[in-house]
Amino acid sequence: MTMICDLPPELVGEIFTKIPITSLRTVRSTCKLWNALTKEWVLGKAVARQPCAGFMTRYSRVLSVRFDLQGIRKTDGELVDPSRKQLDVFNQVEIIKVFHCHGLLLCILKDKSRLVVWNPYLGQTRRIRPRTDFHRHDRYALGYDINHNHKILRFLDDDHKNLLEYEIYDLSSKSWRVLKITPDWYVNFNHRGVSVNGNTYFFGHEKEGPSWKDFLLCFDFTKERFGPRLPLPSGEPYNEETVTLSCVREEQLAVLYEMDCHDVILEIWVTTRIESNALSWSKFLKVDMTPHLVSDSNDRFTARFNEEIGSFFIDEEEKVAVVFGVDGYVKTKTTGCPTAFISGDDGYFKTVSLRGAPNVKEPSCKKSRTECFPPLVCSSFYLPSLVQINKPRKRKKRDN
Amino acid sequence: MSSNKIVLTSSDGESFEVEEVVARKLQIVGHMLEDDCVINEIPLQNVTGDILSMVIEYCKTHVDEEESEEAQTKLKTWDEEFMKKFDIKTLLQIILAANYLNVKGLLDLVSQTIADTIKDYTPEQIREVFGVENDYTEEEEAEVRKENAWAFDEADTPKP
Repeated sequence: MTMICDLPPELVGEIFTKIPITSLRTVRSTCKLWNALTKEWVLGKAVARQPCAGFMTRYSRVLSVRFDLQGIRKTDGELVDPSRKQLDVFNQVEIIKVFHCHGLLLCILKDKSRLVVWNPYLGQTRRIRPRTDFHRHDRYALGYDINHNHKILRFLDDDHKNLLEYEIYDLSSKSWRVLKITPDWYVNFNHRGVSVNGNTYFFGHEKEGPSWKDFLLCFDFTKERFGPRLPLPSGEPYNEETVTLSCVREEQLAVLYEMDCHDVILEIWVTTRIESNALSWSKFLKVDMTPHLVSDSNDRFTARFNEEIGSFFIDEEEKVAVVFGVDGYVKTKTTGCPTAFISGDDGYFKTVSLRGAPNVKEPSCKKSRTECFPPLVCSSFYLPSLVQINKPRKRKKRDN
Repeated sequence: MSSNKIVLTSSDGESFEVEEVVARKLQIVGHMLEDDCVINEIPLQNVTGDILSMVIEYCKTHVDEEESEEAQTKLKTWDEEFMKKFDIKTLLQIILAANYLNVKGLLDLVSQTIADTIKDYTPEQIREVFGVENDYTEEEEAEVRKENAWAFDEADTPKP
């Protein structure tokens, strides 16, 4: 009789790489060998190419998702995702935002009572209470310094309410510290920074000055301060543009522009060199969106790409970009499903829907759109890591 | 390509006559055919007849992998139905055979099917179904489980 122990370790490892990351904790508790094999294969192979795994929030619930981009051009109108599952762990709380860095997820709770840092691979969570209070308009970022100490940046800059708060939480010392930062720029409330090599990049605007002077900013988690203004890749300032950030394997920054000049053009650029004070870029993709957009009876486009809820990731091998949160923006056959489109530089374009979403109650509220439809985060290229967020608290015994 | 027939023989002596294009889906056979083109009977030592027949059924179905979306959908549905036929023990035999015969598509399909089974099980169920022995000591197991406990289940710890 064939048992799983008859399989060579590489076959068992291959199977493990296909298990959703959030179910691996079960595998790890099965036996020592499987614990070792998951570490070797899931973490080892994560560095190499593997199906794109990530997390998204929908109706205040977090879902883990996995996309296989190999052969994505062949898929039939649905971004097939057999491993998508709602994470039961978060059933009791409502999550409005998720950030990721180095295998860790930072979850922002709707009730503002605490933050949660989570390592889905290890199944470890840490709740973090505020130094004083969390606010509805807090911006957050997760990163790490040169010594691999993981930290959370929280900031709030509200001229109307006269609030200026910058603080940093160190996961190793488990404490908040206030940072003295008085910027002459601001970051939109719904803009999500993206962590690359431990630092977080934001799309910033001048507090006073024209909008075409927009720029990128890097928060350096080692120096614990923002670097200089960094230019966006497209040389020409455009009248109107939306900017969304993403990353490639947390090693390079990617920027998606929607430019509304004569036609609606979507461009994606990726850094070729990235430091906290300098960036160089290469163009990854340019798509003329004009034929694909929803328009009204006067042939006017009814919506712009929503940078607040939209997100994207790219696949360099397949030369495609997958852009999420395009309901009402791009013509689609279906409605009601979280929708994405896939586009390649060869003019390849198709819309896909994320079907089979778990049964999540749709909110009945009539609040603003972003509250009803929380950011659809797809942190692609999520790489599992062994970063311990709950270091064993082994206190030394006192010598009496 | 000529419709040359190849005979594949299993470890228990069962023979299957298949078209060369089907046999070539088994990469092990493909390599043999390239090394020496005048083979028409190939013994496959590590796979029994009942398992080999499943592998051949898969290869026959996947012999022309058409690009069209319709064909892809049809194949996918077929794959799903095909996998439903087998219990875990058979799946393990098929994955071993697919590995030995080097049929990449089938290898991926079976490992995904097994992975999907594992993901819904508890550790106890996994051990039972897969015949894995629990080699953790009680303390170690408690430790692993504690590591995996969710913070939401815990009562709030008082501030120091």
